[in-house]
Amino acid sequence: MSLSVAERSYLFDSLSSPQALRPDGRLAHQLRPIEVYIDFLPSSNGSARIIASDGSECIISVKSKVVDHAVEKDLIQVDIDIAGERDDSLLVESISSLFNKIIDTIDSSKLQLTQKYSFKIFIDVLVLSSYSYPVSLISFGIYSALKSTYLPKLISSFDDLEVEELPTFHDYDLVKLDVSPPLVFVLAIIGDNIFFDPAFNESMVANNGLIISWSQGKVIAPVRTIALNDTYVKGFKPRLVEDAIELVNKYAQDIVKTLD
Amino acid sequence: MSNDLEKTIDIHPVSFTPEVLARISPELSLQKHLSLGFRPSLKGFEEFREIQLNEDFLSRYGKEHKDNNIIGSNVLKCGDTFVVTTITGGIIEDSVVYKNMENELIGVDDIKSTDLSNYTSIYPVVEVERGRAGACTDEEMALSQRLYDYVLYSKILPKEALKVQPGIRITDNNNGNAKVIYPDSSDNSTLPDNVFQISKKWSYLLYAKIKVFSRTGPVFDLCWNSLMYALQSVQLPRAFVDERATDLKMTIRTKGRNATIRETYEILSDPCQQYSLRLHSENIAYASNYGIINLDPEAKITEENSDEDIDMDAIESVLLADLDTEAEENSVNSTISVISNSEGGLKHVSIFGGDAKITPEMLKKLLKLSQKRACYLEDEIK
Amino acid sequence: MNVQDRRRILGPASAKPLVFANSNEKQSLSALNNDELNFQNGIISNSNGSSIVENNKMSLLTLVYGPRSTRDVSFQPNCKINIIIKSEKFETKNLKELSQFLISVLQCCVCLENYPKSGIDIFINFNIEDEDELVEYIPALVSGCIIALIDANIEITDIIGAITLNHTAVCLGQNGDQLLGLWKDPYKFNNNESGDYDDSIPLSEIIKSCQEKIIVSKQQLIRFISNM
Repeated sequence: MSLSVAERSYLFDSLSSPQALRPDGRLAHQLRPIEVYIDFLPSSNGSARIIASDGSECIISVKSKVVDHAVEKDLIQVDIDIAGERDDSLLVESISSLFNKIIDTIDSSKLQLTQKYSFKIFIDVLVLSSYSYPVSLISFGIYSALKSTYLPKLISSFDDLEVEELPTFHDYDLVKLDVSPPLVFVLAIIGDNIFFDPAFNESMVANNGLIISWSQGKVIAPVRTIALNDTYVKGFKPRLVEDAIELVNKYAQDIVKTLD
Repeated sequence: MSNDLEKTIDIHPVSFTPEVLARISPELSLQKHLSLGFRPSLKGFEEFREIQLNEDFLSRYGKEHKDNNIIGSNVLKCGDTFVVTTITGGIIEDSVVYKNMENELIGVDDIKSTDLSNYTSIYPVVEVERGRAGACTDEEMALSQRLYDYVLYSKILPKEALKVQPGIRITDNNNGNAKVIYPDSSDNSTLPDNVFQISKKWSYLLYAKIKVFSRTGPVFDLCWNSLMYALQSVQLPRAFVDERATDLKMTIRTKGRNATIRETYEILSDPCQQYSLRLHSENIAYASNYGIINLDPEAKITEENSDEDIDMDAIESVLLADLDTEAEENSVNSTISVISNSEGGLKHVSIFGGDAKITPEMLKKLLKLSQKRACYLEDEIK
Repeated sequence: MNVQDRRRILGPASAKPLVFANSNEKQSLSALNNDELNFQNGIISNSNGSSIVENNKMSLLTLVYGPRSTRDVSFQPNCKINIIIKSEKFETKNLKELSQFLISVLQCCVCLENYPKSGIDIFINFNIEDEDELVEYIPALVSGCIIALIDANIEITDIIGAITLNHTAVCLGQNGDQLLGLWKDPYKFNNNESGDYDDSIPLSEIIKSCQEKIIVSKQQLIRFISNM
């Protein structure tokens, strides 16, 4: 799928003008409608399936394991697979590097079971189809999956430093995992305008892209710029970063509410 | 028709600048140069490129304190090409301690183990940078294998020199200060004798990463020489285990619910104490390479008025030292690689016959040159 | 899962790399801090352009190959930039993320439309890497790429630069008026250093101070380039 030079030029003009009009009529800060289904994988601790209006689709599974946290430092691990891309491609590896950095900001003390042992969480992401840069979709999916994750209930004692004992769990009682995963927003910069969640045709004419992470009421690191195409890429006014962060701070809370 | 035949056709000779000729016909360009008495690189026939060394400034023991894992290094620049060698270490648990046990069992102390089994090699990975990504090339694989084999058969690296003599880290219960004590240090008299009774044995392993930049010709001898220099700069850190770990036992559950007990040690390297790797220095030798090529009589640039006929039967060949440039690499089919020490002791010689006329005099000559080159290379490090 | 690399001689699988115990001498490193970058160009004869950028904590060798033909069969009106970073210290995953970022930045200044149907491959080798965080390398990486591109006679529209401040790398063009790239990493707290990082400084202020600093570093770069 590609756009002709004329199509791109038309899109760029309409999106960079002061009264910008998006091709699908959305407001600048409006996301595309998404459908989320949770808990559809019976063998996972938590799962989510997320579908965007353009047909982009992503499934996420959360599994867990008991580890000695003195040995394993990273208690959450994200693995990303994108259909049609090689595992070692630039796109897959950089998205997976980005998400492992984002996930590191989650407070992992919630995963501690006993003084010696912790849960280790494995998040497997499979992007079935995607037409625009998929990090936003993936992060919403991870958010929904983690929010619907239930882990086995511990019945042995918390203090196991002195006793040689492996943690034992209740036969069927589960505890809801209580974490607040960060969200990631992709913003396109076209001219002096900023657009949330650019669709494929908007990405093709974006001058630059911003990846902004947000957690618990404020913008956090990592923040990145990213080229969304290879024809229109150029610099932008530094103050747009400020505006973008302000926009995210303003609307992210509403998005979280909707996802919950 | 008849008019056409009578017309004279002028044939203009096409001429190229030397650079263009060297690209489109490297063989001819090389022959023309040789007939003038020098090589396309403007070197003499038996002239080597000069080398520049940058000894061991990449490792943690280099001039500035660095916090990396490199324990020996070398940067060798030869002509345009430069080779960066870094040596890192590893530790392996010796699974076979049977050698001593075997001797005891048989009761013979002087079992003649073949000499070679007392030596080991370094694990080299060569990367030749030429602007491509992906799997390693045949050249890189061949270079690594040759380096591995020749280090082993040169008997440079005795296994004895890589034995680990671990110290013990003792934590003082009163003030929480940790200190490391080695079996050979002076202040261990206060300790009980059995502290150093660790049933496991370890050895160091050496890994070399050799990166070649700006390759202009064959690079084996550059890699070898750089590796030799780097090996001589290697410092092994002292290693120790923690006191608490000396009698540590770990329960391992297997599927059949049989609990097995295995001793585990975490062995750490001392950041401050190290010693030079004891190589068999008399076995250190340096590499050089040569090519022999037949002179093409037709390429000879003769003086305009000379009447003598070119004798097509007498083939002349010349010896070229230190092959460089694309033209020489592609046109010279008879190549000789020599690893020799400064006394003329040979560690390795390989001759690819090719098509050139190789005379015994040439071989004598090149062995002499190798010795001289080895002298020069050896002096560089002193 | 027993995949073995049969192409390289890697030694026995059971060996463990040397692990150095924590040394107390780490402070001595920051004492001799000389952040000024030194440049060199044109040292590698089998590439189109090359550069070395170093200070006393890092040495980066950048090689530019191209513009050369790509394997792409379909017509590409623009040149494709590809960057491969090689390092012993950092994970490939993180290096790939960084190369994608650098590609984005370079796309802003290389005249891509001048080289249709071709590709520019940039190989960056980390030879000395005493800096712990990738973000600290970004200014040297950007300068290295710019010098190597000029050395390869590839047309660029602007001499861009980058500044790393407070764990945030900012790439700026047109003397600081245009923001080309922004990279902010979450900070991992090490036990022995926490002093020079302040999370409360807003991004816009970091960008402002980078805009002031960029002029000095750009002047240094231009001085070198005009003597090339």
